[in-house]
Amino acid sequence: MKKGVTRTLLVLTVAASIALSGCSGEKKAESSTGSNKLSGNPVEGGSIKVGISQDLDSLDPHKAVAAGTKEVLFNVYEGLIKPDKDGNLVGAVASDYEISDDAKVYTFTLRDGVKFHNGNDVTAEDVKYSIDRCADTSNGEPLVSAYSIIETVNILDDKTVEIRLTEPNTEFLAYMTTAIIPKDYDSFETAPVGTGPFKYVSRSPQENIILEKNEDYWGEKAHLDKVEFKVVADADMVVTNLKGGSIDMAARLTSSQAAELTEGFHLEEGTMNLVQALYLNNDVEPLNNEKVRQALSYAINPDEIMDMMADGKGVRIGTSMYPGLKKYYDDEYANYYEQDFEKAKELLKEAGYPDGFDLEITVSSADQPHVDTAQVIVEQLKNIGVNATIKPIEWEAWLEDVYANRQYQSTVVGVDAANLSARAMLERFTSGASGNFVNFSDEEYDKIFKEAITTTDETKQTELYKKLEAILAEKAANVYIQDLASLVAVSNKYDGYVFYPLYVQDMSTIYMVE
Amino acid sequence: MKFVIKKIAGLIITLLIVSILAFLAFEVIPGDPARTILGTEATEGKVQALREEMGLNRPLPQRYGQWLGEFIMGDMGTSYSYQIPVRDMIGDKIPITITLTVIAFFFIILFSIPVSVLCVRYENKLVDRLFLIFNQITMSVPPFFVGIVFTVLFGLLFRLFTPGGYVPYTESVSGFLGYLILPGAAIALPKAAMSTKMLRNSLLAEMRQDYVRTAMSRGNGFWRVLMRHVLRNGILPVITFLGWAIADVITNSIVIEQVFGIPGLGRTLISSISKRDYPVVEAVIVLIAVVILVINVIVDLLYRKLDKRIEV
Repeated sequence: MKKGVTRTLLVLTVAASIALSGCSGEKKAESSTGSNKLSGNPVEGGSIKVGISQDLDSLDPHKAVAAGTKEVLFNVYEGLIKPDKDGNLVGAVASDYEISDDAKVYTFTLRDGVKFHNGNDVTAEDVKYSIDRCADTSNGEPLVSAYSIIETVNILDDKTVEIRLTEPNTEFLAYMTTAIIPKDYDSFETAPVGTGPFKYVSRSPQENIILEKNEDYWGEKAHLDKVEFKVVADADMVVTNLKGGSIDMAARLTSSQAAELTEGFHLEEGTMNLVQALYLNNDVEPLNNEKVRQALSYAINPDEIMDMMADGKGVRIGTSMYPGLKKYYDDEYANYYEQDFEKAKELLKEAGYPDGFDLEITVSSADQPHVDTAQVIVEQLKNIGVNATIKPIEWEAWLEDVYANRQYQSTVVGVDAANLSARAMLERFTSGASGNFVNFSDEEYDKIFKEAITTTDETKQTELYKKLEAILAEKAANVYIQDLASLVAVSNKYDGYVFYPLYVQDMSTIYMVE
Repeated sequence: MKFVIKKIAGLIITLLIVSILAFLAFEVIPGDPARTILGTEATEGKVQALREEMGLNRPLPQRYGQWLGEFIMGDMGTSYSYQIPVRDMIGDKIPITITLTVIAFFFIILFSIPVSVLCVRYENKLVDRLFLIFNQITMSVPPFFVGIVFTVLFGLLFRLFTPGGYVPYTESVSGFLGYLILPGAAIALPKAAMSTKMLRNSLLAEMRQDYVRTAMSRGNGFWRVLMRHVLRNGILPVITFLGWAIADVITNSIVIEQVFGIPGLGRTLISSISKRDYPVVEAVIVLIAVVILVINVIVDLLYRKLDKRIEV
């Protein structure tokens, strides 16, 4: 539920919620370059080296924040429930759950035979401890912000745990992916213990983290015996290391990197599951004028951006929802603004800026896709007399200036949901929301949002969320661009890669081929 | 003795200044460590709680004082991002970077002395000319570029090593040393070219001295004169250069570690800076400063030993 950021491709994640079913966020297409057709049969065992762009920020699942850490720890820890590749929430440590009619009591039945990596059985005590740890407010705020509505966690019997909420919440299940850890265990940084398909072996800071197969896993066991996540901090070295054989797989490659891998690898293509946009500070002149924002939307052509930076890969979007969240995603806004310079100029004139204006686009300089996007935007905006300039800054400075202090005009970044979430994708844009870094404020939006989160009727709720998406598109809260393409290179010695509609790497499905 | 004490006092003062500057640098650059750790999930409350926990809310002089006190006592603090003692974190990185530096330095010596002597022996002949051209080219190429060329050439084309396939010394010492040869050579090349050129010119100047002519006229051969007199005198100015070159080798190894994927001090330094992990950065910077300063002192001492004329 926390979120974070990766270095190669900046993902601004969001405290998430919801999505009980049906969100399949996957667009899988295997592009075989030349003789890359796989042959041979799957074999059990073996090991793989996976390149990751940054070291893990913490091995404590409740304290880890970076998306790049969560994608690794996904293999080690599990919650009461976990997401599957189709975007459903399925039982993990819990085999079953029940939600009371008033949506205030969630009751979980623990699965038989789930063991921690240290050999101990998972007990109701451990579950209570894990949830309580994340809900603890003695440090000011709970580790999981959404847990502030937890009233009590009760152990009903050895196998049953009940969570009582102070207010109804139909979407709370999505938050129960919080890792279950052994009670009072305190050596997470040096010897993490979870219940996942892989267990921790060793770690060397800045170098690697090594996992091995959990033979006692309750579910479908992993195929590989050993997985090494290797830190390849220099983005330029990823391709060289793949070619040289020091890593076998790397995710989130750019299309030019992928193009260099002509033999020995197959490319899996999906999307990043995020909303890349030219985010506008709705509070500053002239962007506080709806017509100006619409003019920008008419001037910018996402298709051209995708062509320039990724050979057309990626999915064009038109509001703050990405296609992976199928249930909530509404395709009709993708082309809501078709490039039309005359219309844009007309709107600018009506808004009182017939000669255009100066626009500063702040971008985190380490995130090449966003920098590339900004460059195309600068050119496109010239057509309507808007003189845009790019201000590159460090990600750390971005977090402070743009995200926390909102001292900026516009920025290109990707916003995603760490948790199959529609709610937090959209909650951000309610007036006064802490993550509302674009300062969007609309009375109707706030009203509908409130209605959406309090309703217990799922169909109606989905409808309301779609209405919110419509408002964001029509009022041009931001200039929406795309869900970026995600390219994963996997050595031909392996197969079985699976995309999730979330920021995770599931290593348990990967197997060696003969 | 007085000289040594004076040098050590100067060393301590310099270190203090370096550590203060490093502390100040983080005050000036944007980015808050607590906010960086929390990322976009940061709420004001969480940031404040974490700042408090990390002790960042205290005034700068107080923080510096505490850090200094602990550092002197041998406690380098705890890494913000890894929650482990800085000492443990950089402890096993130090041998890696030192080995790399020593290898690179060894290459510089190994290359520059024989080559410059050859150039002197065959001054303005073909060998000399060829080396001059070669030196001119290599001198102007930065090590990281040499590193990239080596990676493509030896790693991908000739497949003599696996790019990124660093072998920890705990696993195999020979594999470890083997992997460091190319990065070492990449760092050494420009420096070796420079020191060859210096040594060649310095030796040539010596060769024109009267005492050389005298020695020659007494029937001593070229090699004998070179070994007994010229090399000793001609190498003096080069020693200063070599002292400086070590410092440069260390800073270049920071970059080269990135290129070759070597988990040494340099990589730790760079990633810690981007994570605003002050305790680690501070420790690494001071450590590097210590090494460089100590080398400077050694160079000074060596200089005095070799040439009695120098008074400091």
